[in-house]
Amino acid sequence: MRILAAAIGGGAFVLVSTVVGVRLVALASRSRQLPELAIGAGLLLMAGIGYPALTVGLMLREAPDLQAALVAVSGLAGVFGQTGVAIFNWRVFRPEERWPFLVTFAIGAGSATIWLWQGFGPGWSSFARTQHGPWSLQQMCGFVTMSWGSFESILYYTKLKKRLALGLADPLVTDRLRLWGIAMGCAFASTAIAGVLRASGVKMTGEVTGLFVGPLGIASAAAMWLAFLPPHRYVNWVLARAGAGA
Amino acid sequence: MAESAFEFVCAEIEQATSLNALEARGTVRLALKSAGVDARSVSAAQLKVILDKLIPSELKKRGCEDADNLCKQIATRMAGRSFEAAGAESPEAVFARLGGS
Repeated sequence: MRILAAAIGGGAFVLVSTVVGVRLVALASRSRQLPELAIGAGLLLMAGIGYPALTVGLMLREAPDLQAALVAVSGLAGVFGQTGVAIFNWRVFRPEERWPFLVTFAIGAGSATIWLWQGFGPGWSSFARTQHGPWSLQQMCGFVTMSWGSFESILYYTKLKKRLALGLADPLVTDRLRLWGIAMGCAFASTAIAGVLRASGVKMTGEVTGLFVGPLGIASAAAMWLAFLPPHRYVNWVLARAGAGA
Repeated sequence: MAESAFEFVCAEIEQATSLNALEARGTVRLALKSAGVDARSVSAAQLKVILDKLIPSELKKRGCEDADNLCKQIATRMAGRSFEAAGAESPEAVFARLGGS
């Protein structure tokens, strides 16, 4: 049951992130703007390529070379994906401040360095077998990018809520900030729990991950879907709620 | 260089009341904070609404008589001027585009 929950939660997150990522990259091709390119590519790389490649790779015990290659590809997708999300956080929420550039650079350069360290050091076969090695450090980058994105979105949402009460904000955009904060927050929580368990020596089996990947994956996927591809009923509900509060 | 809408409103309040520059700016900043808006990025259109709905009560707390009329006059004078545009695109504008709004 828990393995099924992990599969459903992880699968939902991968599917929605891929669909939203493709949509945002397509938007970027029309708008020529960096935010949609950064976040669209980030979602596609991390969830559309990285997560599935890692999942399949870890199952291929009988083909160690293919396993190592898939895990390495997953890692590389993670390097570029996390950097894309960090660039989005910086350019959207703190474009005129210096420290976000430094954080973004540290995430990109740090991830790339750890990827190379794993590859030229213990190797990707070793990581695929044991899930231990320099690449384990990369999850810190995930902690930073996702918690940063969640924090900034929720902070800006609290500002827009005040503006909405004065008629100075769009209800759908306000709700979108809230939902994106939730999506990133759930993704961060899932990664953080996995990181703490792994550091405690717990083996990440489906039985273990099903406890949190399932519910958090579904919550993140649902929030992302409602943020970027909301059904008409949801849109009408948001608008009606804003009208009722006016 | 064009002044910002925030600077204009602060200067007008300072001239028309007994508040000094620091007090005038602080009063407006408090109103902006209640509205969820930053002084660096507030637009003239947003300030017009805040002048109508929030700043009068802040001025009354500071002993300003006829705060409602003063704010109406400032809003009228604002309408005839152009102000410097905000710098970077706001997160609100980005998220509006991401959702196709």
